[in-house]
Amino acid sequence: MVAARIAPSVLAAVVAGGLLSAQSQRPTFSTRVDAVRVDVLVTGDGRPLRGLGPADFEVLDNGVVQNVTLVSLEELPLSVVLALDMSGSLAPEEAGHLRDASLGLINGLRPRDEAGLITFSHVVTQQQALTADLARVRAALDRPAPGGGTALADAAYAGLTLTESSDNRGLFVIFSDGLDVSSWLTADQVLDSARRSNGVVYAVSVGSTDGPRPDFLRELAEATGGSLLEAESTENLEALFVGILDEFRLRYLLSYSPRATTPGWHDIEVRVRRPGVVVRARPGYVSSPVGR
Amino acid sequence: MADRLRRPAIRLLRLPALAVGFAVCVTAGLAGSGSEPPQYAFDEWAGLVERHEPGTLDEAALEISQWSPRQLSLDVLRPISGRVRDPANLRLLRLGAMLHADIAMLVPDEDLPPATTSRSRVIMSDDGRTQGFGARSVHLQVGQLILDRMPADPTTERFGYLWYRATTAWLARRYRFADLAPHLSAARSRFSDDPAVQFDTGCLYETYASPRIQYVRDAVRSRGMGTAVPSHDASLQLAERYFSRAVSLDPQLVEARIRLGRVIGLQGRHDAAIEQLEQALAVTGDPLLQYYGHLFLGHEREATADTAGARRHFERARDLFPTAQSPHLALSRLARVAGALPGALDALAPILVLPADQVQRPDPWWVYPMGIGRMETALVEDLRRFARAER
Repeated sequence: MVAARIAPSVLAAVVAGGLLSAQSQRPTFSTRVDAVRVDVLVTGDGRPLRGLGPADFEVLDNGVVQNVTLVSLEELPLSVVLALDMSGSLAPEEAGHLRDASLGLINGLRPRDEAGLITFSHVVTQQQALTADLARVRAALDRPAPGGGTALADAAYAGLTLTESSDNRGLFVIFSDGLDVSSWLTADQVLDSARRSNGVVYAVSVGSTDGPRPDFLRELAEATGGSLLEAESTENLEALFVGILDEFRLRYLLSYSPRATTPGWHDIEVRVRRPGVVVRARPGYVSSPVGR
Repeated sequence: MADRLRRPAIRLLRLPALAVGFAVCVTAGLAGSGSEPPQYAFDEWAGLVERHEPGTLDEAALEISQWSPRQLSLDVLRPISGRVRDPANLRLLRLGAMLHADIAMLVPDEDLPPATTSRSRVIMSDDGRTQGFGARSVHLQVGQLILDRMPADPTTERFGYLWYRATTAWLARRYRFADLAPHLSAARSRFSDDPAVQFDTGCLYETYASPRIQYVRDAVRSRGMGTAVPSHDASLQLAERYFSRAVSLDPQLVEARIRLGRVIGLQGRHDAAIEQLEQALAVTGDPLLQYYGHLFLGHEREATADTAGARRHFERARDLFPTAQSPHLALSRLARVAGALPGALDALAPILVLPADQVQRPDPWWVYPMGIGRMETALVEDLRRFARAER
């Protein structure tokens, strides 16, 4: 293995004996980092496939086959960050649906899991930092009132970055009913950050029949191996949100120490040795030298 | 004449509470006057004009607000043509333009008679999505037509300039871009060498290039409808042309130079953008303009791979408005790109703990699309003060 120093942003977890170390909320990254995490969803006939082992996976990093470890998910709690669009286009009834959906997802978390809440209009606000005290997250859901424009890219960046503030397995759920009209950051800048992230983005978009749509949310989700879920209305959001958590728990977390660590973009290809399956994972990651 | 542009505008940072809607598609025009004989209710109009106190929604304003566009065309605009030649009438006509501006600014659209022609329909949009149709402001068109028929004596020129600047600011603050385009076209015809009018037009096209307008343009075009909004690239080119003209007419017009730098940068000419932005920053002490200048210069430095320079300018912007989220986001992302997640989190942390209320954490970036709309209060008051002195 080449022991080059790799930018920690893409290698945020250290693997030891197949288990991720989850001891610190704010890990120190100045020392050697030697693992790439790949969160993988494998489906057959449209349903997540269970029971796969390390031998079922083959991972190629820039075309080079890697030695892969399958991380035990039982040992690894989740860190879920919700980013909810509370811009003026959201009607009060829709805000109620969104709150109920978020509660549904929070209620599905387990004792060691964490959650945090961001709301955004043109203003990005952390209503609750990541915490294992889920009652605080539930209480925070009562605070926001809709109003203002939409800074979707700004909120996506903030949520994605917060998702990575923990060593846990990161799930970032972002909901929006509008188009970005207020962000300072550009979509391309945030997509670049997503490619450096270990978190997985599930985006939920509602009410999008108004002509051509920008593809930001879809590209954001795909950059992390997640999904964009589109709904016609907010009425069935709760099932959608709960479904996200259920699906996320059925994903596989692979880890490997790259055989080659050249700076720049690395293509990742995940293969599963089963016929007829569909694999969804981040398409690659960005490695940049430490100390730039 | 561009004094207002040079003054600090730091106090005008709040977003209008409800001003997220705006109109995009322009086709324009009062109801046609047709060939029917005029009713000559001009004297009644003149009496109401004399009774109107500028800046108040009094009985005179309310009464005329209920006149139909057709009635205004026949009973006001047509008779005016024969009266502008008499200097004794000019004061009345200026006050008439003031009254119609007040009606436009003080009477809610829903309380006005509906527009009678489809030519005045505009598309309304909120949060980047189309929300149906509205109408151009009939009363601003009436005021404009009154002024345009008047001779260019010094008093009328001064009043007309104040009128256009104030009403432009009022429209810009409310994002009523469909009204702004023909409004500014008329202003340029009358004040072709005025840098502030060139600046306002540049702001309009700069905003046309933004996602909030281009989303709507795409939606409208996908339905096979026409729009007067140019493409993103064409809008940037037009913005550059008008900002360039503004700074050539008045090199001290700092905000025009800052915006010129930004639109040049958005077209990929980063070195030229840096030159303009540095030139602007060298001469302004206005914190708001410095904020914009440093924010945009940080962006341009980043585009030229000068990360240290970008960080320096984003930090300057952050220090000017510590609670503004945009420079914090920019700094966090710079750290993220460099591989420093803790640095990215540290840069983000100060804004995440702020309350959601925008008033307690203003970010001038949010009101940037308003352009001259930030100065609406002062400009409208200038106009009304002038009109009151004429009564």
